[in-house]
Amino acid sequence: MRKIIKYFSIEIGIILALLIIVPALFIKKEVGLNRENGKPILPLQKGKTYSQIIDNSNQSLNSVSLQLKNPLIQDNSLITVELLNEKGELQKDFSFYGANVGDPSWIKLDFPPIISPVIELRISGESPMDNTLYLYADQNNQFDIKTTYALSNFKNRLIGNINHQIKQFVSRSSWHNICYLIILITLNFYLVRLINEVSKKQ
Amino acid sequence: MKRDIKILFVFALIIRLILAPLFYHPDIKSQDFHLQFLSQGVINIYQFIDKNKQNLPYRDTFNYLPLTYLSLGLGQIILKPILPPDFSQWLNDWGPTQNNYPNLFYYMLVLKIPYIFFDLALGYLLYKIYDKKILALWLFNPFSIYLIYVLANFDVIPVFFSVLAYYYLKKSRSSLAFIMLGIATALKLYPLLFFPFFIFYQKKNLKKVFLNTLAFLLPLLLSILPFVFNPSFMQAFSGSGLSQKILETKFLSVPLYPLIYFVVFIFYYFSKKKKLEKSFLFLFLAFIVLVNFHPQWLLWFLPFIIYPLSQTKTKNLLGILIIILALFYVILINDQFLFWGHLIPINYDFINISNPYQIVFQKFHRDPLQIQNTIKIIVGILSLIFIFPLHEKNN
Repeated sequence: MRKIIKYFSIEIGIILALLIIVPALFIKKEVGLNRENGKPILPLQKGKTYSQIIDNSNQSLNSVSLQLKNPLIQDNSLITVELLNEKGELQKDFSFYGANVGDPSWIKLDFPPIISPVIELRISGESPMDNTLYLYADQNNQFDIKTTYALSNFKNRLIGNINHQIKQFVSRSSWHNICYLIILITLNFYLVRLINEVSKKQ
Repeated sequence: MKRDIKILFVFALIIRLILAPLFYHPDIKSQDFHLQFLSQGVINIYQFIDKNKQNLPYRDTFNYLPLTYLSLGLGQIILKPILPPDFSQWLNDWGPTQNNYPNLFYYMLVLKIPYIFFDLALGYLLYKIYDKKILALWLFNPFSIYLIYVLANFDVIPVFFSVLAYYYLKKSRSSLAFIMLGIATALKLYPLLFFPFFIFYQKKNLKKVFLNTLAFLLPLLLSILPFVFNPSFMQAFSGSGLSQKILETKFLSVPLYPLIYFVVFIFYYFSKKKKLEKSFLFLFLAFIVLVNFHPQWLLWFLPFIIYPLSQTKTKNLLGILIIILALFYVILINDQFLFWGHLIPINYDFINISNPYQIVFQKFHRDPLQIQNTIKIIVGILSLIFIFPLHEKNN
């Protein structure tokens, strides 16, 4: 019996650690927007400002990534990104130079969670040219953008992760779910039988 | 089979069935993307990719040998009925949603079934060659599980054939041994490194050496002959990693790995007791220190070095330390899919966690490359402990 418990506790330990504990420990933010099918069509030329509304209904936006292009990394103009709340009040601003932009690259901006439910993202550049520094966007000027939202304390993350795993399991092919569980249970029964046979012989 | 051995295998199978679906690496997707064309009747994958590159959602060339394509492609055809119905959609999705499929869990499980088979079969071979202890070490050491199921490359298949070759060699069935080593080489070229050690394992007999070389070359020649005059095939191999990487580290313009390889081989050739495992251990240690290796390459040596590493407690601990350092080297490579990215079948949000490279670089302002070089130096120093006994013996 002790041997059987040893084997089972290893199995359950692996499942618990990998499916429940590790994600709850390390995933402290969840993905929001993930749009990247655009092209470098918005030049970050002096005088031009582009803006986009970001939904922040879970009130925990904590990073924004934008895809930019600096062809041959030749333009070192200043680029400014501002995040404003629904009243137009500045929540966060960032400035960086063209030299930090690749050909192309995603620029990730991290910040403490913002609680305003709607956020306006504004980006402007000071490039003297209209063909040396670009922001990626689609035909409707929707930016290539990735956002993340902070997740709360460990206990909440743990509960959230358990719910997430259940949701994932349900959304998988049910035929596969059933077969997978049957195989694992059958193998465990067989393992118990083998262990019992060896114990009896001893 | 004895019941206690059966317990080990059944438990190992359960552990693998639990772990295999939880880990992902893009290599398994890119390989299977190319393999799907066999079911559409494409035999010359190299030419097909060359002609259709512009229309394919994934445009990289197929850099593996024809036997790999044909055998693994056939494997995919056999496994297709048990793959989730949206498998093809996922395989051809290289856009932003590519990793966001709930059934990724089962793609990983089904695609890794051949790995589970060859991994357990390899364990059985090690049991036959050595004993129960080596079997248990193979089945339950986290390194081989990481290299096979987390990195999810098909290397375990040629590794199985190279160990099978060694098994036959020990049983004095040399023709079969060299055909098996030839099959391993026809799947992935790395067993060429092992070939000289295998060929001089037994007493030197020119006729036998010639016949065994022929047996070794047969699978490779047969499988590449129909493709060898095809420029697309040759082009796909011009960027082959191993041959370039083993020549990279040089001292006074002399590539160091081939030099060490030659020295180890000379010691082996002139030694009375052909300790193949020990020679492979030296090649493995030199490999970590002198080659900018792809992590899955460590698996090539692993089944051979478990035995010499398990001989004494010191060697055991030292071996574990060296392998941990090698894995530490691996996780410092700037690739999200060599750390958190592996876990996306569990939760897609793992992709957004900073990897060790980013943490070292951004938070500690240290150059990860420098740390990697330091790791190589430490492994080099630790390796000396293994080298001295050889030196003493040969003296």
